[in-house]
Amino acid sequence: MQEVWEEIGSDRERGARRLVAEYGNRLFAAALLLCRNETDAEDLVFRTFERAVERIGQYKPTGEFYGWLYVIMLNFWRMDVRRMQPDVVCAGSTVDLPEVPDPSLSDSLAGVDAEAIRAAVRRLSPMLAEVVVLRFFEGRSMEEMAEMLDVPEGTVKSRLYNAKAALGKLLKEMGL
Amino acid sequence: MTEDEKKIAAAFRKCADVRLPDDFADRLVCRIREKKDEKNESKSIKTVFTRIALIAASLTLLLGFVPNVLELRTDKDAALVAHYDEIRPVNHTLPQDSQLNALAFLGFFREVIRRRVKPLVERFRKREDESINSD
Repeated sequence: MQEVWEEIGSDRERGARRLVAEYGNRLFAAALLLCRNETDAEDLVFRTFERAVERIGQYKPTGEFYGWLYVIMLNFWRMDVRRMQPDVVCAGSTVDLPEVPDPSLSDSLAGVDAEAIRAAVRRLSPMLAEVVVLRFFEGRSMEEMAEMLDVPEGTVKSRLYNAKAALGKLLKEMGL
Repeated sequence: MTEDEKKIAAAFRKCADVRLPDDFADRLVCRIREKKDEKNESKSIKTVFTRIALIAASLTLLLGFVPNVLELRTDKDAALVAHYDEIRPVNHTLPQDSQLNALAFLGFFREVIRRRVKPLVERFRKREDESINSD
């Protein structure tokens, strides 16, 4: 059986359908954590797939295909954020960070539903939100995250530390 | 991942239970088709414009440059051209710069035509003189 990227190369329309079937929901779930609402998330995934089909020639088969798609989505999302909140993108966090991350974060998260988790992640700064989603939703290693975000591993670690701290604080603020 | 991180990841997995709308793939395919059509349309427009530009360039050469060159048949023009060539040697090689502009390109052709036609004109004039003398 052909790989998805090969199929897109030989028959765009059939390849696009397979792309949606294989990666659509997974990417949509990640987009929902990053975007403000369902409409934005759907639009983000749509543009991602459209671009992927258009630029399929740029995909190098040595890399992971889903990772390639994810980076396209991340770039679109960053552009959207920059357009909507130009001041926020470079900021470390939209909340004041506690010095030490809350050790009970995992316990707090265990008791909340998906919508509450999404609400908390959306309140993080874009920089922190993207590491949280990559680490905890996508289950990426530090090395993979550094590669996908195009930053040193140390930066990823520090952002993740801050993200956990911010997330814990946000959950408390939300009464969860 | 630490044990704590694994617990956080388990909580995040609750967010995975979502589905794209059923018509998502159809809309995507429609958009891809539209884009393909737009691309083809712009290609055909480009082809038409390219043809128009080529015809215009040919007409410019034929109606503008060639008659200018043929006018060199008069002694006065020939002398002027000879003088011009003396003071500014003509470079027949195309500029290597990829940003070659249209004017430079036309200028190059103008020089080529003049160079090629000038000897012909002189030969023609010589023959004409010879025939007059023999008469």
